[in-house]
Amino acid sequence: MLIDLAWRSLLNRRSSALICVLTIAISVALLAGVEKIRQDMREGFFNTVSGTDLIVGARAGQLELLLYSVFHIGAATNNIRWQSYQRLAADPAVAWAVPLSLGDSHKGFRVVGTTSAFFRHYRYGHDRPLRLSAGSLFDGLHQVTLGAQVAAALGYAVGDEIIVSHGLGSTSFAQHKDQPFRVVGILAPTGTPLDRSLFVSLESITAIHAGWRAGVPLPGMSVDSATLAAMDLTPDQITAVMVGLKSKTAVFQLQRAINSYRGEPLLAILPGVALQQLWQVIGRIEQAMLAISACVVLAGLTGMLGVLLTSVQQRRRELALLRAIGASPLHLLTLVLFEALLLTIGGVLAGLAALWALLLVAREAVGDAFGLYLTLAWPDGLTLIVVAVLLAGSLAGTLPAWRAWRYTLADGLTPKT
Amino acid sequence: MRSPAAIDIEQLSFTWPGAARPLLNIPALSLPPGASLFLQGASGSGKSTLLNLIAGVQHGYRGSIRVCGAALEQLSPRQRDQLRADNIGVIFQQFNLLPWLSPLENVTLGCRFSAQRRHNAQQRSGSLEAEAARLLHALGLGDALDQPRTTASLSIGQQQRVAAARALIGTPPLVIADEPTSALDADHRDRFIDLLLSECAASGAAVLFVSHDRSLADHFDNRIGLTELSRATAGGDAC
Repeated sequence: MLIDLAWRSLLNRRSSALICVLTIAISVALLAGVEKIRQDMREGFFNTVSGTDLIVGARAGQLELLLYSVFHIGAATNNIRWQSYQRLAADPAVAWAVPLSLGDSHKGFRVVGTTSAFFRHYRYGHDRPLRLSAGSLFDGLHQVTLGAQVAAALGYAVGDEIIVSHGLGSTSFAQHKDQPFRVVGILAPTGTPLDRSLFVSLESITAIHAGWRAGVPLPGMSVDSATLAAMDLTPDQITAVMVGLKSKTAVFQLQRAINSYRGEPLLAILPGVALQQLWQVIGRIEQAMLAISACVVLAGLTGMLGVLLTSVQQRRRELALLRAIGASPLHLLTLVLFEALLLTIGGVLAGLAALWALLLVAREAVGDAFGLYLTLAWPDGLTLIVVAVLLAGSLAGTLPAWRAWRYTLADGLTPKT
Repeated sequence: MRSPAAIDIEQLSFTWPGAARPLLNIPALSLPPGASLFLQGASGSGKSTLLNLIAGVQHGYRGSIRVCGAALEQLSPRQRDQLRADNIGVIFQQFNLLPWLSPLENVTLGCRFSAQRRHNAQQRSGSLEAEAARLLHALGLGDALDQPRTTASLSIGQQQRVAAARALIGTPPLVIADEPTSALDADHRDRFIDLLLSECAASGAAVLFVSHDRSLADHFDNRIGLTELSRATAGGDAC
């Protein structure tokens, strides 16, 4: 029954109340935004690769293999032999094995040499397959299928010709100029690192390196298409293999077998386990972000505390008047507490509204620019955050409320100001 | 059935904690229902304390204070607040109104904490707003109602009349006026007191009017000086 009085009183002090609400709104939007990004990032992260049981590469660190094979970050220190791939693919427990050959790039985007099996077996998110948004998959030498972001960023369309660079830098000097590629298709966006990759056949990778030694073209050794057609373009080496099993129960047995393979030092990792390990590293950063945002909320609430304390001081006469017409000290304590609650609720609602408006406007741009696909869904942790902020807001209201209580008891009917 | 005295004080003694002598020492003071009493006292004579005691917002006294039949010393702080809400209308020297409410809302505010006064007001005029408007008209503030004005834009005299209407709404048996005319000029002062007394008489409320200004005493049925009343300051009897 006091809430309308609290409301009217706040309206009367609307400029300071508005600033108060705005401060809380901004801090809540920040905190909720961090939580939102955290959740969607996590979702996107764990959904980068699904349906693959093992990833196999040359023996190195577990994270290293995950980073270069799935996230296309960093480079492999060693390759694996084609024979090893063939042995693996022939294993009775293996349903499918997709070879990956990495090491070339185009204007900073990675070029992935693989087979058409990649598009059949790769899954991301909740078992979602890859789709084309234009054209077709590569089906022969010097054809390339682009990830969505590559096409968008470089403005490529089906039919364009591109030059692949040797190595991974965006300013690589060694260009495979003699063998240009034709864009035959563009993949639909996935929100995974695949969007930032170009896909060619393993044979194309072998072909562009024909006549090269140790990363540089041999002088006078340009290869024409007739020579290429006659060559056996089966690669000698590849970088990694993605493996799907007939039965999941065989995964640890096969992993052990690969890790103790005598032909060459190999490493097999379970993507889920490796992702979890990587997330523990990244997760720390996010927790720090969350903690910082929580501090911003605290600062916002402290601002409100200041505003309310000043207002209680200024409104001592008002409180005495309400007391004279029969308000108990408890009524006045509640009145001030209601004000704090109204300000906090207003701030929380405004903050969430602002965040979702921003999400609605900016999520596509964020997806394109950072590969971070934000949804409009309510993140799990946010309910807890909202409850915590409301509680903290009421808690911040108790100090001015208590002061109002003290004043009313001390002042009686006439304030001693 | 005879209604009880609006105020009935017996053997009241009040000493501030740590003070050597009592501030107030009143053997007896009674205000019959519907009567008006002028209580004269200089500032510092304990006027405010006496009013706080009667209104039930100050405790720690000895003796007995009965307001409308209820002995304050037997009530909990909560019951005293309710007794005040139900039975006492208060008018101060200034800052009587909440500037962020309209004049009409300031009047109905008098019923906010009392179901009994809400009921009385509704009985009388049908609704709180109608009763508030009736009182404002009776106090000569019809203009302020016809063209809705903000409370802050009213003159001091008008504000005091709004405060009187707030004190009277819901027909409380007792109206306490604490220097309500100090901010008014002589002409307005007399008009305000006459208006207040006639409206209190019309609603049957007893009036306790407190002022330092002896010249106002003639308007009232009874008058007394706080100094004569309180033996503590008169005789120095520190019992």
